[in-house]
Amino acid sequence: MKVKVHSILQLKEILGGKDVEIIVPDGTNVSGLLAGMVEIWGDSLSPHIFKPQSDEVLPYIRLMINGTAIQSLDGMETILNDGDEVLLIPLAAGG
Amino acid sequence: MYSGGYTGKILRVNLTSKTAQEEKLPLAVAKDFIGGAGLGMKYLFDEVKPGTDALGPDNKLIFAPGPFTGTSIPCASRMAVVGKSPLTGAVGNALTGGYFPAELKFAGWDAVIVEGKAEKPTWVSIKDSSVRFHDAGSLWGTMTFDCQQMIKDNLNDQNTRIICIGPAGERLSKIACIINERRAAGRKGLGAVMGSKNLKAIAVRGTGKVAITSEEKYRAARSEMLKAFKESPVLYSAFSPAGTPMVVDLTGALGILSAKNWSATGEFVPVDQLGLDAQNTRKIGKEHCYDCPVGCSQMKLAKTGPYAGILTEGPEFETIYSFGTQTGVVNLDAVIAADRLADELGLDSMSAGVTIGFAMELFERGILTPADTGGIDLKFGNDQAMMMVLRMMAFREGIGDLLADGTRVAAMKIGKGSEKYAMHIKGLELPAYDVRGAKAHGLNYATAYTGADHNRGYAFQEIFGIPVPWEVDRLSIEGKGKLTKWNQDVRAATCDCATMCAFMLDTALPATSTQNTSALLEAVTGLIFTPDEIQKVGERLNNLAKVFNIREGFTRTDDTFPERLMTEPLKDGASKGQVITKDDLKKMLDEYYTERGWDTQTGVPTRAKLEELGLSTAADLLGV
Ligand code: SF4
Repeated sequence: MKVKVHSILQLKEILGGKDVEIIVPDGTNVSGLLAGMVEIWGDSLSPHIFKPQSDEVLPYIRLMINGTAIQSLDGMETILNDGDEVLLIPLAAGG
Repeated sequence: MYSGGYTGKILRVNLTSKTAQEEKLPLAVAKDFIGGAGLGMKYLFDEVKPGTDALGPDNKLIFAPGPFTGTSIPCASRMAVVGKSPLTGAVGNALTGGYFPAELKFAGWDAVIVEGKAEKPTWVSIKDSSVRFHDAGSLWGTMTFDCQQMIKDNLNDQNTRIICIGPAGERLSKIACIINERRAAGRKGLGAVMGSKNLKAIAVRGTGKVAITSEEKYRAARSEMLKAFKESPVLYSAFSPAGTPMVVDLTGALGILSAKNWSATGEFVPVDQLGLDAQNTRKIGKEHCYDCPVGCSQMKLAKTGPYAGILTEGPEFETIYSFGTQTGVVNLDAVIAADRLADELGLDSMSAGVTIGFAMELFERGILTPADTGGIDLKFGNDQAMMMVLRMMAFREGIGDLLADGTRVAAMKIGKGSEKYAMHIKGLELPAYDVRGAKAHGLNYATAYTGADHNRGYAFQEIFGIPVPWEVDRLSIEGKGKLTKWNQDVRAATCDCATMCAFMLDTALPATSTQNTSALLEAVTGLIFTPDEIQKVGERLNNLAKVFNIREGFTRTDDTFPERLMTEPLKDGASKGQVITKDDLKKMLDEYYTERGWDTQTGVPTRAKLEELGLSTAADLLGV
């Protein structure tokens, strides 16, 4: 199945565009998606989303599925569906 | 009695009698309100009686820096301008940085209270303890940048710091601002209050310095603050080079970047044209406020069409919204030009852009016609029409006169159901964040004592995902009353009273701002506050301002949203389907008033709460 990852600011630069489509096996959860992305983008991506030498996501990285924060779903275990839009948002400031 | 931070002196300038006198700042006022907006609120409450005409001689304008202003504490040399707002009829305040606030402290003043009305256009110069009144006949009518240069030339001092109004303030536009170099004390129409007093400008020069009580504690507290700056995951790495425009990209992704007078949020998201990457194509430099190591202000140069060559400091995120997404204008150079023009005219860029967007929606709906606009094709996206109308607003020409006092007054004059599209709360035009997708941010808009004001209780938990004081779901209404009270009180104390730049609260000190303020206050002033007592100062300010507003006739029904936010769900984007129903608002307000210790039915503070905060006189005046 395909999911769309929408990112902004430095994460958008690393992924090469604000929207990227990623093909993942049916039943993939958020954790699996991020693991798959690290396989594609490697070391250029992982320090920006994971704590060093860890698969724990940095505290200020936000993940949302169709606008809903994963904390309000099943967290990293949340199962993705075909066509989902995953927001991957780094810390911003200002306003 | 004061050992540092404060000078202990207030300057009272009476324009009617052309006199200036020095007064003592009572220590109790400093302890209860710290400075800035709190100090201004205390004097406003005590001296401006209920029902006072905001544009009459009995209104006052209080320019109040804080005890840190003029020290080398980074990002803390700001001041509040406080008066009764002609736009809302409520408390009006606006905070500004730059260099004027520090200079006012160097001149020896903890605040300047301006009262009365000059017989003819006047400007005032302050050099340390000497105050002079000057005829502003030749300055009247000038744009703000020229006005400042003319005053510098007149005084033969290019380092004099100046605040002034432009043509909009002179013509009493209720959305006129006060300009300070290229920065603004922007919101709530305080520029019109200056205009109503025939006061064109204040120039200040000081030769003193701000005393520090304990150099040792000061060094420790300051270096702790700078350490937090360095450890911030965003301050120097991202915010310093990018500034506020990065929030265009963020709110676009979250589906909360308001557009086309709030009719198209989530559907019309011109991040490619107006977001950070686009802004960077126009960036030519940076600017810093006094003693700020961050320098978030970006200097931008327009490059195309009739706007080529126009330079501005900005546009900040809110102005990219007001002159960009709100009006449907995606020509970045036009937004740059509008930002500059609004500063020169002395118009609040936020309220001005929102008001033009409002007029555009009315034009598209046929409520305003070409006969009303003088033939201007005031459709969404028409940048040249926006520029024309902006200028006409400041000079009150044609359709500009109709729009010069903001959306609420314009809707009252236009009628025909136009109030439905007027995006304001208590008369103040809405900031950029579409709060249908950020509920505590919305509750702050509804309850802030200054009207729809993101700066009174910014919900950084919802906008940036910072889990302090706890993690929240931006789309839920649960617990948002308690969170909003926390946001409003902490921000009021640390940013509005202690005059720290609010961007530091979000980026570097979200969990430690009250400790930071407490440590710095002890080091600078010798006054001891626990972090909880710091937060209480914010609560005291929010309660006293609430009492002021109630005495002006505000009730629970004013703590609300424009109809659109409660009836039209967002149509697309990452907040699709979100709305704040009337029932949602009622539940959030009930929780908020309960958390505040206010009467849930009426929203009026209880005597017990006011006495707890040392505001029993306010309780007596309120009759509770
Ligand atoms: S961060 Fe920006 S607004 Fe804040 S003090 Fe520095 S330059 Fe001024």
